[in-house]
Amino acid sequence: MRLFLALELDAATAEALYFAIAPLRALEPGLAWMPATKLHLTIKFLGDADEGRVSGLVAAASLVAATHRPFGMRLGGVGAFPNFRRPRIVWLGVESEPRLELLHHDLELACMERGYEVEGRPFRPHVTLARVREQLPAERVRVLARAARRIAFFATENVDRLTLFDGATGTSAPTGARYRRLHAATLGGR
Amino acid sequence: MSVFASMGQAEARRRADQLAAALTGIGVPCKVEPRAALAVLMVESGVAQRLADGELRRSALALAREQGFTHLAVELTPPAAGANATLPRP
Repeated sequence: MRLFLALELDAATAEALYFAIAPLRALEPGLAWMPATKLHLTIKFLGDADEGRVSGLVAAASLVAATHRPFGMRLGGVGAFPNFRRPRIVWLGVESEPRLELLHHDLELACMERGYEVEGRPFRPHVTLARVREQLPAERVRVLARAARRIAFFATENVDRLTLFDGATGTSAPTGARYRRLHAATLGGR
Repeated sequence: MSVFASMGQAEARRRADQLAAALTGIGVPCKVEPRAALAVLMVESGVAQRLADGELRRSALALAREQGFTHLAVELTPPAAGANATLPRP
């Protein structure tokens, strides 16, 4: 199993987002573009784990979720990691939101208590749109970057649950992993 | 199900044009391209910057909903050399 905790996008938002980036997909159809059904925001990547760890993570996610109220998360523009000169990931940005930062912080602590390493890099919330498996020629990257900067997607997503996924690898799907929802913990705001 | 699932292209175009007219009326001159339930506003960079204002964006979305759209996206009209939308970074 390959586990991660994530915020799912509402189906209508995911579909609209998929259409919003249609010009980018048309420019570079060879990138591993995520289908609308798999668009999400990863809060904590947990990595390879056996099934025995799932129940502990479900409990941790539920406990954390119960202490956070639902909140709105504003989605924004398109960018790339590490940058648009050598893109590896094309993403949709999420505006800075203290409640999202707190949720992430509490989850990091809860996962640490269960033996998972704290993520060393700063939390940069984003929705992965595509993975760039092979470096693109410089001119194509420039064209893609220019097109990406011309697009902005306006949506405020209501965050009301935290989902534990198994992103099992080994399928022949163009976007790689197939995601399986193991548990969805509802944000409660106790 | 989206209202657009059963709508022909002509009807989608008509709603997009109505939305464009309504948006122009609130100071957001644009062309609108319908992509299913998403309305893509084709705007100049100055207009895109104005849409950074939350109140104006909410008004635009309300008008879009009146025409059956659920979401808004913006695309800058080309080429606008050197134009660069202000985008939030993760």
